[in-house]
Amino acid sequence: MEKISLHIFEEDCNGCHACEIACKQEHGLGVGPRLIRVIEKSPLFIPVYCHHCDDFPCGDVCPVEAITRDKHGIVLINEELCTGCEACVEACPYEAMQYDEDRELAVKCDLCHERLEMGAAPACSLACPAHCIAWGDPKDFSN
Amino acid sequence: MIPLLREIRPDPIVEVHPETAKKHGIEDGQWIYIESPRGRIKQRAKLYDGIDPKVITSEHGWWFPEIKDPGHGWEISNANILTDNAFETCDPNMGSTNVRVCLCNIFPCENE
Repeated sequence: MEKISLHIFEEDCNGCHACEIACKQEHGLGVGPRLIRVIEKSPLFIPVYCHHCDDFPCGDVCPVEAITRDKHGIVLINEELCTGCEACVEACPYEAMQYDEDRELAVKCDLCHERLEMGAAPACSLACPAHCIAWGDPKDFSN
Repeated sequence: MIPLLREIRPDPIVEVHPETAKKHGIEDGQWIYIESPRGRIKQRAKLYDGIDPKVITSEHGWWFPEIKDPGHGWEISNANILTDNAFETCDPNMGSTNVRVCLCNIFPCENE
């Protein structure tokens, strides 16, 4: 199957933060980790999220090789292997890697891969009232 | 209070046009006082060029559940302090405040 990634059309974002809430609800996260977040720097709204990079530096620095890529190109953390050393948090160029202090684990956007398996959209994309969060094959976004 | 919602929006935000902010010496993200003849509140400035330079847009309904006083800081950022709530000028049927706009002055908080 083709590669799947997330793309946010920043010019349509109005800074409502609905994606952040939807993401936290979907992943059962409390205060602290924000797997997708929107930084308000007027007049811009800057979404910060995992790009599921081709060369993923988070995986390169992980001492226990807990971060791997699945068949759709989604970069995932194996929570059973993660030791919570935070090396990946330091390494991520997009500041998308987050640390969950409650569980003492690194957490990141998993592109809602369980929802994708069922044919549903990622939670953030579904919640966005401006419809500016697209997901799918990155080659299609240019259209 | 839902902690994860508070994390996303910790402070009351008032939108100020960048030119107006420059005139009053206000920087993006700074706490500012908003003052009308009836009182003074403070909110956090967000510079935004989508509004007229002559107006600011203040958020209403702010109080702080995390402040453990009996009043929960109701008077710190509450925009109702700025509006005219006099009996004579309120709606005779509903008692609601007559207008949602008022003249005001803004200036930066020195100690924040």
